[in-house]
Amino acid sequence: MTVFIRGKDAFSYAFKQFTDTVYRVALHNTVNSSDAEDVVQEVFIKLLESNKAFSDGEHLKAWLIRVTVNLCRDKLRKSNRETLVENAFAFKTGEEKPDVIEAVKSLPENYRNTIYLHYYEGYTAKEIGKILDAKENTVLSWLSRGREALRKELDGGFDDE
Amino acid sequence: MNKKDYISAVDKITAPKELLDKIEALDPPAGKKTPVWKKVTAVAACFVAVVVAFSGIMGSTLKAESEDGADMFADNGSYRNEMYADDMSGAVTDESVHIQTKPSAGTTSKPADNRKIVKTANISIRTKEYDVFITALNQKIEQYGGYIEASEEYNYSTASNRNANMRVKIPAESLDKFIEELSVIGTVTSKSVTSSDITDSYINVESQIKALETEEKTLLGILEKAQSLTDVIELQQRLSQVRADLDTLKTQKQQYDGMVSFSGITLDINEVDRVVEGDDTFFGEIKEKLMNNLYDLGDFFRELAINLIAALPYIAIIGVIAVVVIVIVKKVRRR
Repeated sequence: MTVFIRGKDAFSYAFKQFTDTVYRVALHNTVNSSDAEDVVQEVFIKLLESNKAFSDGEHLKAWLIRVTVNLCRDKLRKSNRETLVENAFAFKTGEEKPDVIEAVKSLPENYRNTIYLHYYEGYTAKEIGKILDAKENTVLSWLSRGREALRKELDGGFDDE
Repeated sequence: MNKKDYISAVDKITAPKELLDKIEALDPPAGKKTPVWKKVTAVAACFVAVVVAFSGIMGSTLKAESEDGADMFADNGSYRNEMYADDMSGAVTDESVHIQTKPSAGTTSKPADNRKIVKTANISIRTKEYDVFITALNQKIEQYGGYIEASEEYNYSTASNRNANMRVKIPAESLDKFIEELSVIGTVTSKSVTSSDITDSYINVESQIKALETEEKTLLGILEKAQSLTDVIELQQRLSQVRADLDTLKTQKQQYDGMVSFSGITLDINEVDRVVEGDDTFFGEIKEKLMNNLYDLGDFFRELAINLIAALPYIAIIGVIAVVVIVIVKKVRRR
């Protein structure tokens, strides 16, 4: 494997290319934006400290996503919370639609990450399996269950149309 | 509400400015390493001061050296610049020495024709004559001065379904020609060429190398004049650190050079019984589907015949048993 980037190069590349991705993943897996920001910082510190070598940008991106998900899980465990969102579908007065992000966040961890990685980042089930360390079929079932749950709650759901 | 709402909602999520600032501040690593670095820098600065004071007494002979030092500050990255400048201002008292921090040289951009582009290609190929294709491919690779980096071959049950994955390196300037040649010896079913620009990283590595080389030179100069043992040890520690960093950076630069001068091609080679040329028109598709079905039908009868013949021993045994049973039944009926 040829080493493409490592250390500070990897850091500046990640900073330019993937900060938003890391932040989005973090926001999907933490209770509020300030927690998400903490996690993003921790992720970048980890990147600097690890001095890991990456074969290409995608490799780096996948690593960042995985580390972000893990750090968020640790954080959630520490705070002893079970769910991110109390009740996503309780309509707030004056609001017509439930917030779609909140709805996705209300799903179990693997479901919401799969939904994000597939629908937003465009990863295939196989690739998601590699990132989240699961079998392709498992990912496919997460995806369909996640979609099912959203369809029940949201008007129109997440069909592939 | 659907997928699109979700995507547009996620689109709106961007990392806030304060967060970006905080992360940017992490680089350079402000961790444990800095104090050691500063300490050594301070020692180095003291030495420069001593040298400078010495030069004041000795005359102008050593002036060239301190100017060399000033160059070093200019060539380093801007943050190092500041660090040096701070330490120097505390250490140097002789006002006749001007250490100017020139604008960092690392940020100057190079002209466009000097860009470092890494090209990679992904190509899928079908061939009817696998062995001929592989031989021709090897010849072409040799002809263009390339080499095979990795190669995997799979052999499925039927002999006519071999499949190979190859990673081939071809000199960047002949990549396009090579791909053209491929479509002559086989049928290219998909092709993608991507270029990525690594100029920034490359310049970054180059300027870091330059800065470290200058530092190495300066450290050696100071080391020659060092007198106390602890100073010598500390300087040598720094020196070996600098040399280790230089080694790493030089290796990296070589890797970059290799990536730029040789393009990587991932080849997916499939052996097929028939090569199907893509035809997108209505009748073209009908023709293709029809041909496929006819082919499958032919294949079905062929398989049937093979299996029937292969099953002959069983059929013979069953036949014998059947004859015996019929004979017995007839005899029983006669009684």
